[in-house]
Amino acid sequence: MFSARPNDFRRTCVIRTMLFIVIVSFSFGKSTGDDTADAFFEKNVRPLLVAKCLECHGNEEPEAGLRLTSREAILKGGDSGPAVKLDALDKSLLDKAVRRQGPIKMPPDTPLTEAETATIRTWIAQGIPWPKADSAPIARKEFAVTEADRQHWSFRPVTDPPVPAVKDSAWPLSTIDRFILARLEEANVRPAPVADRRTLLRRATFDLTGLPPTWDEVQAFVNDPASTEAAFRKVVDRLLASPRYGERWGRHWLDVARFADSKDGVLMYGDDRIRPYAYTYRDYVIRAFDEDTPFDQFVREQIAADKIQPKVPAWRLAALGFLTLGRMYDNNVHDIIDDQIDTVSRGLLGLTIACARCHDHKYDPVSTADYYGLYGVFASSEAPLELPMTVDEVPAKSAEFEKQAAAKREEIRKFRDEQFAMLSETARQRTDDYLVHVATSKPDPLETAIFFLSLAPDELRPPITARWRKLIERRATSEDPVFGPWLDLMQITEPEKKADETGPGTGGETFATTAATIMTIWRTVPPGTKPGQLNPKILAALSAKPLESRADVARAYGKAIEEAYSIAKKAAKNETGWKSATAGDEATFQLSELLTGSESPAAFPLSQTRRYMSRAETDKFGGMVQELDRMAVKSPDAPPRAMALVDAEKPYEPHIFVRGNPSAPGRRVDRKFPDLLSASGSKPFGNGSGRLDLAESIASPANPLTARVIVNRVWMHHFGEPLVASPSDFGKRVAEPVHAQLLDHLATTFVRDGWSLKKLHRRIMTSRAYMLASADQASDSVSADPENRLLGRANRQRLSFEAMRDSLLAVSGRIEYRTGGRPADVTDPQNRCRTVFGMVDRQSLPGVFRAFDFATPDLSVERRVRTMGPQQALFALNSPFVIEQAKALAARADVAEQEGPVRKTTAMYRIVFQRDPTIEEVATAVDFVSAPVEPGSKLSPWEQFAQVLLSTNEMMYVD
Amino acid sequence: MSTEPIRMPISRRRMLASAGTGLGMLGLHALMADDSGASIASPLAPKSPHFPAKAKRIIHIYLNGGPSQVDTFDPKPMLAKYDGKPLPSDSKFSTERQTGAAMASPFKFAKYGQSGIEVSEIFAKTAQHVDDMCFIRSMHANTPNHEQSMRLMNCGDERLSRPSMGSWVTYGLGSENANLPGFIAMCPGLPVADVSNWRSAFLPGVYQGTHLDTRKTKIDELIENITNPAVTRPDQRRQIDLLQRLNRFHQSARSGEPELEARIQAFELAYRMQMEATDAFDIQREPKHVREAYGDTVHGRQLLMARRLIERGVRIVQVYHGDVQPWDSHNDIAKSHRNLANECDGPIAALLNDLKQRGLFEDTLVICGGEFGRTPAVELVNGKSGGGRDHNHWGFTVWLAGGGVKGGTVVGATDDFGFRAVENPVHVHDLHATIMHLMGFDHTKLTYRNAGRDYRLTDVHGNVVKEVLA
Repeated sequence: MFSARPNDFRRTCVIRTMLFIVIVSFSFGKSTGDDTADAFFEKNVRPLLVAKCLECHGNEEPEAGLRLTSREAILKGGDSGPAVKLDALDKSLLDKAVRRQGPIKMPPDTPLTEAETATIRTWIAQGIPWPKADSAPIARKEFAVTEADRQHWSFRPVTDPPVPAVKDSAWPLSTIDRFILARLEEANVRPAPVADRRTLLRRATFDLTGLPPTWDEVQAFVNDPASTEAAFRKVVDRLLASPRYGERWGRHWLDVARFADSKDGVLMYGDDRIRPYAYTYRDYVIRAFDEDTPFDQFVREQIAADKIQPKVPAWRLAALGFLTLGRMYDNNVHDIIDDQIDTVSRGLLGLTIACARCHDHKYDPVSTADYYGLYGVFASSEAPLELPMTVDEVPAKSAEFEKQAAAKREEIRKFRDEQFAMLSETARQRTDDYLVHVATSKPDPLETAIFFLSLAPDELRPPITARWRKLIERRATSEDPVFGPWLDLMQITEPEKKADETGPGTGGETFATTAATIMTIWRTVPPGTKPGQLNPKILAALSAKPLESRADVARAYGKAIEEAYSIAKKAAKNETGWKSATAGDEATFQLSELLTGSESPAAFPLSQTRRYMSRAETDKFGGMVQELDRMAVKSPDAPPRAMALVDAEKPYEPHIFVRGNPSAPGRRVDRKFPDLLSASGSKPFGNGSGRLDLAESIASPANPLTARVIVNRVWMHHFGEPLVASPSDFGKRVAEPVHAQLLDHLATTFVRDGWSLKKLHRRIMTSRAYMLASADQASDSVSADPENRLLGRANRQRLSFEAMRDSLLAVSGRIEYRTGGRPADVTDPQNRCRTVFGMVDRQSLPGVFRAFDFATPDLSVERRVRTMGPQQALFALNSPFVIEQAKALAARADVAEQEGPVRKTTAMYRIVFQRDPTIEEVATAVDFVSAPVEPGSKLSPWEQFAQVLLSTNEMMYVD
Repeated sequence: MSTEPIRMPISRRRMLASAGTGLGMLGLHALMADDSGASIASPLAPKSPHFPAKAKRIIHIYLNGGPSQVDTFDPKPMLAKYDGKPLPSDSKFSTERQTGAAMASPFKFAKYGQSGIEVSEIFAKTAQHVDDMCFIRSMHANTPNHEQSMRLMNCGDERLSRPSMGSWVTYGLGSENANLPGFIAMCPGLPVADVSNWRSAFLPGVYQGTHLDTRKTKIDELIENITNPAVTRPDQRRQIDLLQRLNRFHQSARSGEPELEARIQAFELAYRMQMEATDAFDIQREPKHVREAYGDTVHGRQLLMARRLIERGVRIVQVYHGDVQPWDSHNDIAKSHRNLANECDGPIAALLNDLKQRGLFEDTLVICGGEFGRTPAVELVNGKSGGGRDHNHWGFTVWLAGGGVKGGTVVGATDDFGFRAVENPVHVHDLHATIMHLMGFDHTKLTYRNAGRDYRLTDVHGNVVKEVLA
């Protein structure tokens, strides 16, 4: 058995010694050599383990410490002890667990079948034979994007389908119409006629501006001598040029961007809840829509405005709010990144990539490697302490504020840098304490949990402890020149402790004797720093004095590492020159590197300093950051800033987090675009964080999803129904839409038009399909195609919350237009600004927002739900806001100056509905206003009447 | 929700489809449940669960801040033996702050009822009901922080935006009273993690808990827009009559659009709701002896209001003990826990009595507990004992009573010192699964499609604790 290679010799010796002192039983992989048993294993056991157990009990970060990946691992067991005991096969925990007979019931969700539990029992009775013990442990199925995956309708390249021929060639006004009419003719469904001009104008005006037209606008359109189509084209152009357009369509995008003005921190109240610069993103979106920013550019700016060359104008930097305005998740960076991945992937690509955080996507060809490829991009980006201004220079009035803010930022920077230096140094200097803790305690789940600990200054930092455990787990092998002896020494039976836990009692001497024996063997190993050698500094440290306990061993290690670090530090002028500092002393360098390398357990990035601070300092730091924000919220002079990101100094190198657990880093992956979306596998992103590469990949005409997804969203808002029913999910579970050809036609022309949204609106709205009347006047379409999949008529639409409130303000004559700025309190009944400028308080969304189905700002919303409840009616009946508008409507000069109920009624109808009342309606109105008002009512009959008009279905629905 | 193939007029179907798969199904039930002929698309219309269940509604008494199990419902004589001495190292676990020696409970425990379950003297009144209560003494959670554990207990996740249990229950069952919110969360002020405790997240906003700040007493401060500040009720009735007339004119040219009809009905509902809600929240309408039994304190009033609400068909009422985290006794637990229990023991006992007398106990599920428990070891404040205990997620007690619950039982156990759940450990996910089961749901099947997958309260976890079931 002896070989010439020294490490083999050494290993053999050590093992012999260990066997001699009977420390631990080594169990080698055992194959019975019995073909029947091997076949049984391969046929029944291995597949069962793979299918039902290894998801959680695999090699990487196994649940409860139990790996079911080899015979040794099973015999070693996990937190609850060996899963199978060879001396008591019939009492095996594994058997009990799968039979659900003890406290542990496995698998947790779906019990094994009887046949399966019988398989396990048989296998245990055989003594768990494991053929080919040397072969790699059971591997899970490798992920790959298949050709079939790429053939899913939405993953195929966008095509330019030929425009279909139709029988009724007079009907189509545009290519869109030919696609629609072809399907209608095929199904033999006659489309509805074009709606009347008033209806059309109302539809178009609400659609593009979120407001009703005026009576005069309707009259002008109705009386336009041009054909309806020609006249309507002029209307669409006028509306697209209106500044009200961006306020309406920008808000649609804010749903996708899960925009909110507020933070979601706990115990934050009042102004402290406000993100001082969130509004600059909202204003950016509105302006970008108004200026018809090409959509590909819009995408690039929202992901990488800071990286675009030549530099974008300052206001466009605010686009980065798309990434930074999500929830804070208690400052847990992994959740924040998850939210960024989710918003980018569902919002822009219609892909649910966030599903691949813990495992490969269950339905779509998206792997954890794809997820962590994107994770690396966002983890390599951070918010700068000083956010860039969205104006070119500091406004004069802001000078004094800026001086104070700069001082506060400097204070924060200084405090953080000092804490970073102090905490990093302490972490290194206390290596012995960390190692003793690791050696003498079991892993505590709190070390790797994502939450907040109130740390005292002298407490060990749990994440650092966890990383030391990881490092030792990885390096404590018999080959390792540093931690080789650790492996052996830690197997010695620990001396008993005194009852009061003050220190080792009996047994220390036995420990020391065994340790000495082990070290005798290790002394025969050649000194050096390569595998199979032993670092002489470690040998010296472990030989200096008797080792009476694990703590002694760990402390000796710790002291040796710290000493090497001091030598290196003394010699190094700065932390970049460690290697030369140790001047060829490889042994010292090897140890010092454990503390100075970027993968050192003691190392953490500057940006994460807060997590390592003691409670008092955390509070102080948080307070200072909050104070800076508060200053900006409170001072009207604070200049607008972009909630921007910059690339971190050093890009983050992502690993797959096994089952989503950041303390279980697995395989290293590149920062890159998902494989699915690149024909021949993705190349790693090269440019810094990779944000610009990511943006380019999304905004590419070759990307099959981006254009399809946005044209579908635009279509949905125009027609009330999207072509693809799940606008943020174009994945494999989503069937090809009825109008797949039309979708591709729209996407192709959209890209050809330079990604212009306004051109897309024009294309869609000037089609005959858009101009059709709604259901009731088109019975043929209703009976033949009840769900209107073929688009033979218009869908009646209810006003959104914003359009509802804005329309009430518009018809009452009280609406005030503005051009952005800080959020307003639109729940104040006196407030007159458009709802899009209202404060969106994510943590405490006002009741009226919720009652009217406002998009939850918690996550990217593909479309709003539509509910109907009494809370909506109570708002119309009782809210001071509606009552205020009713009074204002009745008091409008063009109403008040009318004499007699008929004229007054007519005036009100023209303002609210842009039509004249019928005779019956006039009679009803006259009846109502002639009745005496109850004593106690504060509204006049006309005010009460106005409130009723504002509450009608006609007010709330657009035909 | 289960799907059933039902034909219905088309535009209804379109309306439902517009709300996503989950709500579509939900709305389907809602429509089918309404037999009046008028199709009221109320997402709160009552619906049937997956299987018949005794419990029809929930009162969740939330002792927020983390009540100490070893001072309330989980007696540990060993603590007295070790008082002042360090806990054995295998019985001590890390929590948010540093803790020191074992600290005996300052309170006496006594046996109650036929079952002889031991309860602390500070809950002596509630303890009169032990034979109808089930104590899960082996609860455990994930982390010793309030915010995260509050969200875990309420929403099944510590940090992510997930719908609360109340939202799920209301989504699944609707409400039996269309004139009141289906899910109400009462608190004098706001608990820590505030509205995230009763949020609907990606479920429709109508399922979000309606928060009532019970420091306020006027009805119009409790429910938004419930009273009209400008016209008398007869005038308002005239307004609604006019409104409906105009709506009928409008509707006559737009037949076959149930949403228009639904909105007409919503105004009638709203009109009635004004009266009903005022009545439900007005505890002055209770007889004097009932009010006295609950006590004229904020806790007495809250629980009495809770009973009035569930009696009127509200599906789930959460009653938080107080602003922020009152049960967070880091110092002087002898005094603070006694005071806290003194505030709620009488009202809880009164509520249980009252439910029993009214025949509501059989089909009302009462849940009581906090987000976690407290350490058996004393908390160290600057290295010294302050007589209090730190947060403890390793083991704590939650009790249940009423509909479908096996009374007089103790489920699971903590270790000898009450630190960690060791026997039949019940995670918060398991508690959720059990509550859903008691309400008639397979917790794995009450789902909602969002962002590409079907979500549920228990995510991928949760086992029903059979021992709790009657």
